[in-house]
Formats: sequence, structure tokens, C-alpha cells
Amino acid sequence: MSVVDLQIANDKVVCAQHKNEVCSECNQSFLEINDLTRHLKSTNGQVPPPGAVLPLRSQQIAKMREEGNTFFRAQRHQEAIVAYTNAINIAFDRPLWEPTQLAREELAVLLCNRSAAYIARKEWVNAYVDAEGVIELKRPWSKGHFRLGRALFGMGRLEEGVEALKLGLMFDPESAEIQKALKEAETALVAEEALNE
Amino acid sequence: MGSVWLAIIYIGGWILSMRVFGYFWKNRKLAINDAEPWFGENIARSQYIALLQQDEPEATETQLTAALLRRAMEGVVRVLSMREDKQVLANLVKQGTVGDDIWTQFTLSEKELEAEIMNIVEEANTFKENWGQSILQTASEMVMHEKTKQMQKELEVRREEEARKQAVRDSRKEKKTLKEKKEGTDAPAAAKESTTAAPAPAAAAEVEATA
Repeated sequence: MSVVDLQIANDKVVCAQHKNEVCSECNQSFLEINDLTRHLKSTNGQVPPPGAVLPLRSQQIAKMREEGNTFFRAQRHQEAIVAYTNAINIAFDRPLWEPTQLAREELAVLLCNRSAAYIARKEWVNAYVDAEGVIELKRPWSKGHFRLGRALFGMGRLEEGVEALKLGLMFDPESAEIQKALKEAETALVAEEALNE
Repeated sequence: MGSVWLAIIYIGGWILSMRVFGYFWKNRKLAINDAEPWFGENIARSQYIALLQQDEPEATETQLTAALLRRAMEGVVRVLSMREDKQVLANLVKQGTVGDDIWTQFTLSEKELEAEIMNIVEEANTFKENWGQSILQTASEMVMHEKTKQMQKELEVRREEEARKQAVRDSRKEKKTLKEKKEGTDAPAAAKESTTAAPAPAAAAEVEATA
């Protein structure tokens, strides 16, 4: 067991030799301890009992999400993206002891909305990445697959898009929007194959 | 007179062989103990202890709390990991694919881990009464939550990767359409552009208002 050479400078724990929070030379990282300390300050140094959530953060996130939704409905997609991104950053910065499930639910919805905004602006790669995130967080949610399909079409990856839509349809066979998108995609696919012959 | 010597040699021989045996036996035990522990160094624990020992300036209670939580998280991760490994290892040892000494190594590390967990609980109780009871539960939640946070970094990495790939795809398509234009086949090029535009969003995208 080796001894960790650290010191405390300006309320932060850093390595003794280089005064770095994350030091590749000393091969130490005190970032986690410092982040946790920062989060603990907002609860007066007390570790909340398991399952406790600070209402303030949830309120902020909900507010940003509503702002984003309002922008989206007003067709101001760029501003919607900014609002959603703010909410997402706050949601990712929840203190670690708050229930994971809550954070995942919030993030799934936020990423899905942001993906829709990216689609509206034809930023396919961003929409694709966000949609993949939604699926990773909440696989049985058909909306995630729907967004993924749309993003893939925009990128020109028609077959993969059709696969994604079919998977979404499996989770939610009643989804009208997926059925419609699937029909359009399959027609487009047939047309492209005819072209290549 | 001779038989006394014989008796002494006999007893001496016994004592000698006992000693020799004991020497080799101890070495065997030491060899097992010197064997590599199941996990590498426990950094979270070392950091906690180092913080405890700080005296100019002393670590604040909040910092120590944070360090203990990280130590608990590492403990939880190791317990889960060992649980997974245990079944697999038991099967391997039964089959004979793997030696018995690895099993001994494993059980020794298990005991060590148990002691570490008890240590963590004791430490927690010194901060606040009964915190020892809930610290492990809190730590488990934190371990799961950290995985979700890592997603954020992964998303960023993926973003850059996909952007690169898409740029390559787009430039290939451009080259292809330019080639086709040069070959005097304007019709397919125009048709290609319309097919990629067709599935593009025409209907208004819905947005989730409530979670």
C-alpha cells in the first residue's frame, strides 16, 4: 500500500508535488473528492438519507425543459436546443447520492426533446447521438427509436433507419408516427434500389 | 553410556526434523499470503487515510466525509465484482481448469474485503451516529449514478466520432454525384437528391411536455 502524497490548497485536495487536482505524473485524481465536497456544501456537509432529493434542482430542470418546449413550439429550434442543453447539464450534475432512476428519466426526456430540435434543424449527427443516448437510458421507449430512425435517414443511412423504426414499432405497435415514417422510408428505400440497378 | 548418546541423537533428530518441517510449512503459508491480492491497490482507501493524517491545514469534516464516501463506493464495487467472480471461479476450480491456490487467494481477499467493509462502517459511525447503517446503501446508489454520469462523456466522444464519419460519407457522396454528372447522367443525380430529402421531417415533431 503506497502512501498518497496530497495537500490541501484553497479548500481543494491536490497532489503535493504539482498542486494538481488530476495529476498524470503522480497518477492521482482528487477530482471526485473535490466534486463530492462541493455537492456536500449545498447540504451543509450532511449526507442525505438514501433516496432524498433536493427539490431545487428538479425545479430548475423542469423550468428549463418547459422553456425549451415553448421555444420548440414557436419553431425557435436553436433557442430550444440551448434551453435543453442547460437542463441536461444540470441533470448530469446531480450529486451522486440522488436516486439514479430519477436522473435517467429526466435525461431520457430531455435528450429526446433535444434530438427532435436537432432533427428540425437538420443537424443529423447531433440528433443521432442524442437519440442513441435516449435508447441507452430507456430502451423500451419507442420515441427514442423513432428519433434514431429519423436521424439515420437524414444521414443517408436508410437501411439502419428502417431497422431502428422496426425496433421501435416492436415496443409500441400502435405508434402512428412510426408506422408513417416506416412507410415513407420503405418507399424511399425501394426507389433507391431501383436507381442502383 | 552408548545408549544415552543414542537416545540423545534420536530425540535431537526428531527436534531437527520438526524444525525443518516447520520452516518449510511457514514458507508455504507465506507464499500464499504474498500471492497477489485479488484487486490492485485500493486508492480510495489510501486517499482517505492520507486526508485523515493531514494536519497543516487539517482536512475539513466535509472533505473527510467525501473521501469516506468514495472509499465506500470502491468497497461496494469490489463486493459486487467478487460476487460475480465467485460463481465463475467455483466452477473453474471444480472443473480443474484452475488451481486450488487461486481459490485460496480468492477467499483470503474476500476476508480482507469483509474487514474493509466493517472498517468503513465503523469510520462512518465516528462521523455521525448510525451513519454506518446507511452509508453502504448510499454508496450503492452513487455507484449506479456514476455510471449514468459517465454516459455524458461517452456521448461527447461519440458525437465527434460520428461527425467525422459523416463527413467522410458526405464527401464520398459528393464525389460520386460529381462523377455521375461528368458522365452526362444528370437524371439519377437529381433523383438521388430527392430520395434523401423525402424522408426528411415534413410532419411536426412531437415533444414531451411532461416526464
